[in-house]
Amino acid sequence: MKKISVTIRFTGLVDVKKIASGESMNVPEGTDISKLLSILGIIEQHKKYIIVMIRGSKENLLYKLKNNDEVNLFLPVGGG
Amino acid sequence: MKISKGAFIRQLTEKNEKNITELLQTKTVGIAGGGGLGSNVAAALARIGIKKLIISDFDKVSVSNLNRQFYFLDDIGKLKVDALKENLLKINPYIEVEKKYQKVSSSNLFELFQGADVIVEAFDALDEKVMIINAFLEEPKFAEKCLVCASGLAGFESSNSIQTIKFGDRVFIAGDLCSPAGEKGVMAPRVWVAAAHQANMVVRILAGIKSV
Repeated sequence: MKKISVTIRFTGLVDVKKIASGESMNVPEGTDISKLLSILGIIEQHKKYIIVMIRGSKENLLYKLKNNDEVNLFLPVGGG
Repeated sequence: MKISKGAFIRQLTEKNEKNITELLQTKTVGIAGGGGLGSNVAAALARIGIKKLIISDFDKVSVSNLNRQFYFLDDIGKLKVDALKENLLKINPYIEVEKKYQKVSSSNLFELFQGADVIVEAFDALDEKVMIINAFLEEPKFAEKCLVCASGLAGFESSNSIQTIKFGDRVFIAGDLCSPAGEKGVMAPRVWVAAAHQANMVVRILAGIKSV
């Protein structure tokens, strides 16, 4: 299957051990954000809270990744 | 106290950075939530001469709020937006405060804060923080505006772990990013550090500075 390259930046409680923030990785063409989060090892209960931004726009879990996308992930914590 | 607006603002802001007051006197800041973050961000901005605040909250002041929020004993039982306006006017009688008694949602965010130059997220609950960030980013009419959030201010971990970071071009986040409320609790010192980060970031954004 053809692969595409995406760069992942994450902050907050996003728990990713496979790569460091700012690194790129290859994923199968057609991978959506939900699948990417699974590949990154993010637990299901965090998925609904993670804010996803690509090229300055908020995207949802069904967004299909494009080659060279830079995916920004942020998971806030409560308290105020 | 009988003193004209011009004379009062001049004296109130005498110790401000020289060129910022004139700008602040033209600006409006929206604050979503009048709790630990929002009430203290509001107080900081009132003290330096912001022209107007739009504050939304639907909750009432309780005794447990007094460990970190800008309220007093005689505010107990009052709606937070009412008490906060009264307290802000005790600092600066010329500040304009627009009170919104609604719970902020993705469907009323624009309606509530369309008049704001910058919006501050000052919620407690995780799902509300996520909601406002997503709603802000999805609202095309906010495309030129910035949102200043907070995440991670619980307990009494080092103050130095609280920082301001940028998420994309228009969302700023103050906090240690990893300490949720809950067992650690939320207490004035660290909540104030985060609120002060937010207030200072608001000033920077209003001054046209988008770096942290």
